[in-house]
Amino acid sequence: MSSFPRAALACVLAVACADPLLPSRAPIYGFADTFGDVFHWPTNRLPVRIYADPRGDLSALVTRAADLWQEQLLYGELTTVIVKDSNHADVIVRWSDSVPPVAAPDPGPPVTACGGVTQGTIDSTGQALAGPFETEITILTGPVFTAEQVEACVRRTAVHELGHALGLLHEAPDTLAIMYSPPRVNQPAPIDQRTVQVLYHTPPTLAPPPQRP
Amino acid sequence: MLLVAGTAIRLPAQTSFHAVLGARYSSTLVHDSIVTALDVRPDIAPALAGALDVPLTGPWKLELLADVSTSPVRRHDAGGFTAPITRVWTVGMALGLRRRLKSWLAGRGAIGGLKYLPAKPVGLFSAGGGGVIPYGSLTFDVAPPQLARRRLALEVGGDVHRFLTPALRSAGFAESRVVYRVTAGVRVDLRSAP
Repeated sequence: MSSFPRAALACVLAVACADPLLPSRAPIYGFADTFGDVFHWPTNRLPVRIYADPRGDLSALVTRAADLWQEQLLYGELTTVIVKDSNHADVIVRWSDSVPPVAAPDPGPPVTACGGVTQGTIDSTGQALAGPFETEITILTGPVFTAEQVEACVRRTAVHELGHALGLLHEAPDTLAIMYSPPRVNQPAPIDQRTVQVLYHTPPTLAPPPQRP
Repeated sequence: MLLVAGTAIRLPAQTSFHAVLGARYSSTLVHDSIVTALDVRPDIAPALAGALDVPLTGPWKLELLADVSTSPVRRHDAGGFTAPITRVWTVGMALGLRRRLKSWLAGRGAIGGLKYLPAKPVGLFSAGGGGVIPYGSLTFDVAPPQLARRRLALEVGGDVHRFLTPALRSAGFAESRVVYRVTAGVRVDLRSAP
């Protein structure tokens, strides 16, 4: 073999054998619930069907939140779809009480002008969810908040609560994480991305609720 | 307008066209390890290429190549489980030099640009397929007399490029991965100027 083909072959093999370094998935925060149970939506239940209260702009904010979570996962682990009938939903997001006016989100420092709660019920076997995740978003009425501050809060809270419904059952200790409570950022941070990626490759201990028609 | 275009694109004598229809294997686009190892790669894809062949001095021909292929891209987990991500189209444009090596064998080397076009902006393609990627290819076509009479040939080729999407970059991948593709198909010479 002449020196040129030999050198060319060496170059090709050098390129071929040099695998890129893999990104680190640490640090992450805990995603199991207080009993140590792990849940995420399995591939055979995708897309996750999400219903959002059509009043105000909750539907748009939930759609944005779902898109943001899908973007955190790289390899087809999660897809979502917004449905119009709560009877066919895996996740139901509603206003708990009053519906705020639609406004542009306040770009200033985060203000806790709203709250959110997500509940999932475990069935009698203790090994599966009994029904859909139900999220309620509440507008706080004590202090006076501007419509823009409320909008910004609901925007953050929708992402945070949907994170719970997708399996991040724990609050994050990192203030820069969207899963910190109450959330101070507008979208998932790198630590949220790493955590949800690890979650969706961890075998769950809780099965999803029975499929609704 | 058509007349203007017709006069502007004046092709030299002996210019010919050819097309290739084939199947394409692609190596792994992404290797990752999240709890367990996983690979992402396209399924075997149908591939269609077309080229304008312009004779040069001696045995050489200049080839202007366009190439398209499409297939679903899947995640392959270490345990054998697979999950679809999205369909991806690849479109390539290249400039090649071809010459006959034997009466029945010809070879071509080409360099060009390749673009990944995902059907949906999801997962590793959530911020698109990235820019135009340089690639190089080496192709051989074999035309035994029975096929040559029908202006047909069997073509086998391989190309190499590097792959990285903006979403992978923002997820922490700092380097692109070398991807090989192997294509086998039937080549047909469509028209040959006198």
